Amino acid sequence: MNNRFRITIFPILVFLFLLLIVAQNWSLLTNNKNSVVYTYLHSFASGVIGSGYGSASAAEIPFSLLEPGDILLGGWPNCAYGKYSHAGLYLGEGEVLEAYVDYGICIQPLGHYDEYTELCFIRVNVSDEIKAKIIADAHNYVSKTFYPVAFKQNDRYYNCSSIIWKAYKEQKINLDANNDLWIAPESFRNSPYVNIIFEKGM
Amino acid sequence: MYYPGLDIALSLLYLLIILGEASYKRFSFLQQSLIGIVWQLPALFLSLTVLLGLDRATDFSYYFIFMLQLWHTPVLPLITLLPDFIHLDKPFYYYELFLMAPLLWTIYVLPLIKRNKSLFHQKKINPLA
Repeated sequence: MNNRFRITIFPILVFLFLLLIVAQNWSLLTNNKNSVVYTYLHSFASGVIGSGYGSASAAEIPFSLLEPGDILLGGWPNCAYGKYSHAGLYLGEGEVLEAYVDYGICIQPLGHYDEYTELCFIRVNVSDEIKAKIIADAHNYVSKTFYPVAFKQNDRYYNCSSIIWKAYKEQKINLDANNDLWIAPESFRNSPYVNIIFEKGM
Repeated sequence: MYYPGLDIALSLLYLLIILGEASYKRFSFLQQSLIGIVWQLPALFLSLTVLLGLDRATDFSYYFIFMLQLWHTPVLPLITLLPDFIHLDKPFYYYELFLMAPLLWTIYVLPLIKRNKSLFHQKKINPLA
């Protein structure tokens, strides 16, 4: 095969798939200001690219408000993909299901959420029975692969938001009102299924 | 739209193209080894920085492993097929990220090693016989 052609096979295939994805989701890119890709591109254009940075005030956080199945959102100023950069699913007894690049899907203690400058506790309006199933299933995700830009519809790699979306979706609850390709922590706050029980920050 | 398994097919295609490229007889072993190293240099740099703890000297240490994972995106679907368990607080895939650059380099030079080996084991033929 011609040298010049051989070397272009894979980039051409990747480009075609990207083109297909963009074509299928054109409205998310152009019309929907709540979509993750729109938010990120808008931030990128203003020179903001990371998950933000800052230091929290020493305010008392009412962790006692939390019930199993609640969602915690944490964020820093200058986060490129919304007000919140991180999400966790409260499992009860001070434990949260989270996802990090170096720990994968893991269970972490609740305490570190007081380090965020922006903090939000969200309650999903579903029965306790559904929440109990979600909590029971959540442990099955531990040690699965983290991938920062994981598509929402996925069975093998997740980020902090997509794992929570998946846990609820398994119980037929779609927490993404945007029907986006990706899901960001901010999307949970905009879901019609939730109530905000605590919010701190800007 | 979600096509389950398409990522695995693309990942396998990526490896096939690399193997095809590596089998193309153009370079000596040394030249091909160097090309392999240059190809995986960003991953080698990021891996060594994390393993030696040099990333912690910067304000953005978290991004090193993050970038390493993004670098290995083409083979990540195959990594997810391997068993997932935790060793020393880290998931198995975390260690695989560091192994991936040497592994891809090996895949790239493997056809050359095989070719050299078969040349080495070739029977001597007496042209006068």
